[in-house]
Amino acid sequence: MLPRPRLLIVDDELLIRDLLYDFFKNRDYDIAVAENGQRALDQFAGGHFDTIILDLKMPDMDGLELAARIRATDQDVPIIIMTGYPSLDSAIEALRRRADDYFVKPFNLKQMSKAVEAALARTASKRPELSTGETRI
Amino acid sequence: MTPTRAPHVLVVDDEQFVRDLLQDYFTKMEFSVVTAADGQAGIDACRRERFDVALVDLKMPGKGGIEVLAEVREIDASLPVVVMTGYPTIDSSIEAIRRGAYDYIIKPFKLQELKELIDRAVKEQTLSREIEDLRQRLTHVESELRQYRSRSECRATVAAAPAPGALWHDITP
Repeated sequence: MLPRPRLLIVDDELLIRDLLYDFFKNRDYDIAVAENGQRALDQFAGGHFDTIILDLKMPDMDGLELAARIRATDQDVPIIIMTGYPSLDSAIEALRRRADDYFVKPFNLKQMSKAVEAALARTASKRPELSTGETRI
Repeated sequence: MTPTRAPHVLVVDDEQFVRDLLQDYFTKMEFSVVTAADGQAGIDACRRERFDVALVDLKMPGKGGIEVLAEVREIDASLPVVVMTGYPTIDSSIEAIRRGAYDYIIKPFKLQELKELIDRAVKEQTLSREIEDLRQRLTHVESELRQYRSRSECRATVAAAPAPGALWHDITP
C-alpha cells in the first residue's frame, strides 16, 4: 500500500490551519501544521513532505522568503502559495520560486485539493519507484 | 559535463519590432535565434527543433502566450518558457505559474537583464536534462538489479532444497 501523502500547512491564522487540516484529514492525507515560517523550516528540516501549502503574510517571515529557503534545499517539493493580499509582484516572485500554484483567499477547497493532486502527480512522474524488495535506491 | 555551446533561443511575438530587436541583440551575443510571428508558428518550431529557452509574448492574435506556453511544455517539458508582456495582470501571472513558466517579464525590459535571465535558464535547463538522463540510467540499472536478484533468489531456492536422498529418508518410516 502506498504511504499517505504528507502535507505541511503553514499559516499564522488558526482558522485557516484548522480548515485545511480538517479538509485534508478527511481525504486521507498525513498532515503537519506550522503557525509561522520558522516552525515550518524546523518541520521541513525534520521530515519529508510531499507538498507545502503556505501563506504569504506571516509575522515572523514572509511566505516568499520561506519559499526561497525551502527551494535552497529542495528544488522539487511542490509549494502552493495562498494569500489574502494578492499582488502582481508577489505572483511573479512566487513563479520565480517555482511555486506550483497561487491561491487568493477566500478560495474553493476543492480547487486546492485539485492543485495538491496535480502537484503530487508532477513529482510522482519525476520520481520513478526504485525499489526491489528491501533494496531501495 | 555538457560542453558549452551557443544557446538556441525561440522568440514568439506578433510585433515585428520586438522580434527584430531580440534577433539583432541575441545574434550579437552569439546566440542562435529562431523567430515566430504568431503562437502557432512558435508551437510548430518547437515540434521541429529543440530549444534551450523560449520567449513568448502574452498578448497575440490567435493563440495567446498562455496557450503557447501550455502546448510547448507538452512537447518539451524541460523547456524554460519566459512569458513577456506589456500588459501584466495578476491573473495572467497566476496562469503562468500554473502552466510552469520559467519567468514572467514586463515590457519594456533591459536587454542585459534578459540576457542574464537566459544564461541562467540555459544553465538550469542543462542541469535538469542531465539529472533526467541520470534518472533514466538509474532506472535501467535498477531493472538489471531486479533481474539479477530474481535469478540469484532462484539459485538460492534450488541450493536450499533438500537432496533427493534426504527427502526419501524423511518419508520413509
